[in-house]
Amino acid sequence: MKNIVIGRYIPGDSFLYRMDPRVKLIALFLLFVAVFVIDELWVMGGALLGILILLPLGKISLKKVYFGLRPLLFLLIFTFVFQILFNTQGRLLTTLRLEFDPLNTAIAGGLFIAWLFLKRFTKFTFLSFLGVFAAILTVLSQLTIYLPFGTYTIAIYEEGLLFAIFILLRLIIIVTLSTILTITTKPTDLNLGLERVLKPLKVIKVNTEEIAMIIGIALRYIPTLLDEANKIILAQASRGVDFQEGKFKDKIVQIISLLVPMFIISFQRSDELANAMEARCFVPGKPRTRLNQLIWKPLDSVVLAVTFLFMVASIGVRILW
Amino acid sequence: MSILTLKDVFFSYGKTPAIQNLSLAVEAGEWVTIVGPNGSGKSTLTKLIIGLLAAKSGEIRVNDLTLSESTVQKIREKIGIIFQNPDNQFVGVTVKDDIAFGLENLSVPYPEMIERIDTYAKAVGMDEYLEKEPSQLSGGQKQRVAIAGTLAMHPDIIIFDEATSMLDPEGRHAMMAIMEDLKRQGKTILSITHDLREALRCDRVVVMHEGTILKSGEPSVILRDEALLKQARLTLLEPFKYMNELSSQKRLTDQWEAILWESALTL
Repeated sequence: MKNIVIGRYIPGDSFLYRMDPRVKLIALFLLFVAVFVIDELWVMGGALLGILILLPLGKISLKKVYFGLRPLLFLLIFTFVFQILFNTQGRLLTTLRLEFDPLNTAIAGGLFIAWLFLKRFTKFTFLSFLGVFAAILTVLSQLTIYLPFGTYTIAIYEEGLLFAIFILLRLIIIVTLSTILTITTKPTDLNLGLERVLKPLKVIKVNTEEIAMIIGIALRYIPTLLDEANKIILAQASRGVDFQEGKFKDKIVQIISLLVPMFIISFQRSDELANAMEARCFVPGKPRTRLNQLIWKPLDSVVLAVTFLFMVASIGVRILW
Repeated sequence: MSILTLKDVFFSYGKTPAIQNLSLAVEAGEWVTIVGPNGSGKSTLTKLIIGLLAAKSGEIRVNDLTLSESTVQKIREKIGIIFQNPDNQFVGVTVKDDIAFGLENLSVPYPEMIERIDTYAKAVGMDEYLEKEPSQLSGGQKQRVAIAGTLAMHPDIIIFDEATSMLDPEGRHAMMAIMEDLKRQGKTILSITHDLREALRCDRVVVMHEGTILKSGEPSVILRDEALLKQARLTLLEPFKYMNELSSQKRLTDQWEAILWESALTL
């Protein structure tokens, strides 16, 4: 459990790494605005192209970006399909016909049950099952023309397709940009940058320094608490708790046997930590000097100017085109 | 004038008294060790001194300041504490951040902060670990960082509150060496422990039991007093057992005493 990585920071060196975290955050915000404003396909395509050029320049491999996108793959596919199915604006492009009759439905049902059994023994994945299912369905729909069980048509409209593509590209760009940020910025720098960027919120009595302190301490204590959790798991395992196996009901009992000591330990820790911090003259809300200084470099101004211009340009295109 | 004075301090958790009419004066440059078993009120005493707990009655003075709501911050600036658990006092994400934490709180300007971090990390031998994270350090190293963080704040008094009890022998010896070093530099040290080995090198041992001071005196006297230590539920260190045995047989020579004292120091 030593050297655990928090966040997705991957050590490296490129201009993306050297940028001021404040600039990264502001630039990200400006680009988000731009991406939401864009409603021309060629501008969106240009933005995507820009990112594809940015990645090798910043020495970030596509693979790392894919790892950032992967947890969202389902959401991406879902929103894409949803838009195509239910958005009925604009010109009708094409229709797909799906026919069901007793025979192919029975075969499909049988296949599903067979898959439920088979997946226990083989590495027959759901996707390959879908492939086989679709293939058989297509063959059957050609063979049996009589006794229709039900016929469904899927109509694809121009607007729906366009919308689906836009949403897909938007999500991909946003997630890719955030992934670039988290890959190239240490959590502590990100925290510091966020604190500085949000400083104007002080006007409405939001104490950004305190929030940053809370996030900082959380970051500091995640590895310590993980270590603690591991110790408790071992201690409970030595007393007969099996964290690997068991039914859902047993799992709940196991998790309780982990959570209760974790809570107690965390409260004790935080109490002692608060004492130690107070003993070292920490007073919440009191002005403090900072060890970590952020230095604004010429590069930062350039990046900020470019992203700002891009945002203005996208707004301009939206209004004037 | 004493640098730290406690006069008739009384404190209780609910109805059970933890500190009863305790009076103690620590001189500047003195190294005082408070020994006592668990539950004798040692750690409560630390918390009272820096105002984490408020005494029900009595007076606590640091230099010429009397501890009160308005002076508590001033007093905390003068007192540095190293606590028991190395993990629960490591605030920063790296060693450097942690040493800086107290300095940031005192609003020390940036260039001076850098200077002090360097100086005190060197003083405790942690200057090569400045960028390391706490998970990469041993307990003893974390405690040394805590000492550096405390020393960097230039306190008048340094309190070690069971600071070695969670360390391995190596870490404990390193801590003792640092304490001796601080004593040589003329710092005032108040060490609180249940480990009599830590009382060997100090100027004065104070034995606490059930919230009161049983006795205080030079280590060579107190650490040999079997009846007193028994009353405080502490056990005599092995070399002193032999010393008392020899003494009762009237065979304790100066030479024997010196040898046994030396052997106690290596414990």
